[in-house]
Amino acid sequence: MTTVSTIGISTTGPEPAAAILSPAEAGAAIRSLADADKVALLKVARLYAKKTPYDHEDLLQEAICRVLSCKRAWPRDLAPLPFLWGVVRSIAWEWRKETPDAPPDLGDPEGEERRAIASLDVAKIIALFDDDPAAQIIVRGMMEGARGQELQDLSGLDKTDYESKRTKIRRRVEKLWA
Amino acid sequence: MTRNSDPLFNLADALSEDIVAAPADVLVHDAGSDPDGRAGLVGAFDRIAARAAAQSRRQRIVERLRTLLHGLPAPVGWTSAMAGVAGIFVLGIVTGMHFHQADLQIAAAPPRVLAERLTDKADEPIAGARTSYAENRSARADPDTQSNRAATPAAAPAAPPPAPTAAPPVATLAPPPAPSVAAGAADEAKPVRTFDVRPDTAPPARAARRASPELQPRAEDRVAALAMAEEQKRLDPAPVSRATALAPEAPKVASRPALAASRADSPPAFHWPARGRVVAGFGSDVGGAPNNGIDLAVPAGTDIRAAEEGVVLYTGNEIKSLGNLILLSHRDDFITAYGHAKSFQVKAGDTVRRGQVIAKSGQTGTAKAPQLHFEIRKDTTPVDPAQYLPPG
Repeated sequence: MTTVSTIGISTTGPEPAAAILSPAEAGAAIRSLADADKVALLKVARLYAKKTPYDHEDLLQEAICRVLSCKRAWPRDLAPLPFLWGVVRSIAWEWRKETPDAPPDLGDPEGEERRAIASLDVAKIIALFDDDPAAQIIVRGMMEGARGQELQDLSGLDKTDYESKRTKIRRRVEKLWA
Repeated sequence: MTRNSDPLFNLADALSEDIVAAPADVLVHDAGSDPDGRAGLVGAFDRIAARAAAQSRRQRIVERLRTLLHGLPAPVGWTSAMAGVAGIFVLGIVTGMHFHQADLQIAAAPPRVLAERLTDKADEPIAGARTSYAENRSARADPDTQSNRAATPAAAPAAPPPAPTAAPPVATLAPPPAPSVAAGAADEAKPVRTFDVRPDTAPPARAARRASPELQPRAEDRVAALAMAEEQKRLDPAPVSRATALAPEAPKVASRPALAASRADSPPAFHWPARGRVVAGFGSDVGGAPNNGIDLAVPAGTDIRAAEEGVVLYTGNEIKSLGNLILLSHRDDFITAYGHAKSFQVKAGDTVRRGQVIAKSGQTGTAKAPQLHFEIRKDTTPVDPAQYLPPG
């Protein structure tokens, strides 16, 4: 940043940092991740990889590669975990196995197969919580896209119980998909 | 997260939010019950990150070389590329163009040097980059710290983050909220995780190597092109490459990134590939051009050993002057070349240990006597093997 004083002398201050991280900075940030964050990203990748034809390692590798190749800009003020989560998610969305919403089409046996598999996966997860109706309601709500207070209201639980259920749900699903 | 019609994707979104928001100690504790265990998960991440970094580096090198060569009339060989760049440079001088000194140096450099410099810029060393994120994270693992996390201003970024419009999926993520917001938010308010990465300067080692006399192009510079081509084959960055780009990494146990992860903290330790008298040193005049490596006089049939563990990138004789040639790819983007071999003991894709016999020496190519031509390249730029080999 250059400023001109009233007596006409230019002074040069520190240049403002770029809004996005350079590849080197991104690499440093990734290498500096704490163990907990590495675990979190692997788990997130596992969750999303279920919706793709690839495994979670491929998904995570592609995400990091895109970041390091500047194909995904990393805003300087965005923390690594949320940012990398977003990248993983978007790649999973890009790679996702489409599940057709339309009614079965006799001319599309592949689509029908995907639909059947997706239904099975959903049913399997719902069945995981047959012993816990409240958790099952929350899972159904999550699948429908409900979040936050809406989801808690749906469950009819107080905050503590609701948080406890969410943790239980997460652990069970992670175990199923590990 | 944006809602969509896919129930499993919605579920993944919801559970991911929980994972990202979970306290560090909970995540670490949960990882202990994972089939892979905490160490397994962390190790897996490190391997994946190393593979991704290597893949990214190679892609950038290939892209920059492509960009460079696209500016020249096609088809061009390395020699004609040099001539083209030199011609432009001379024309600029003649017509009175004024180059900035640094630009002048770059303009005068052969494409491989330019490519190396471009790579250096994008791949600026980061060993010294400091981050407070891991420290913050470790500090948060303390239960007392966690309980106060939402209300601790130090955990929040110094300035409000900009809207991440450049990355649509990221835009759906709530940026780190200000402490007051976090304290009053509903259960979905996520903990703030901040970090601060500061750019650092290049370490002296790389600068010193760059300061060494630049070599003029010669026929053996096709080694670089060959190495790039082989790397490109392994990467296959074609548009249809989503599956194939991943596929080359399939032999994960033996791959170059895996090697990179194994001892990433120490530079490769090269050993002599064979015992023999050095008949032509690095940079010495060989047929009117400087030697990109060293030439060792060795009897025909002598074992040629891998100078360092790595992966066989290429075996063949497409570079006539070098005869039967082997290229090995090592961690930290080093490549070694072994020319004039009589026969190969390995094939492309093989993983080799340091000291493993990879070929038998011979007199193939333009060698006038049985010898081994040995090169070490950083990326594709030849470096003096004497800097890396133990005193012979």
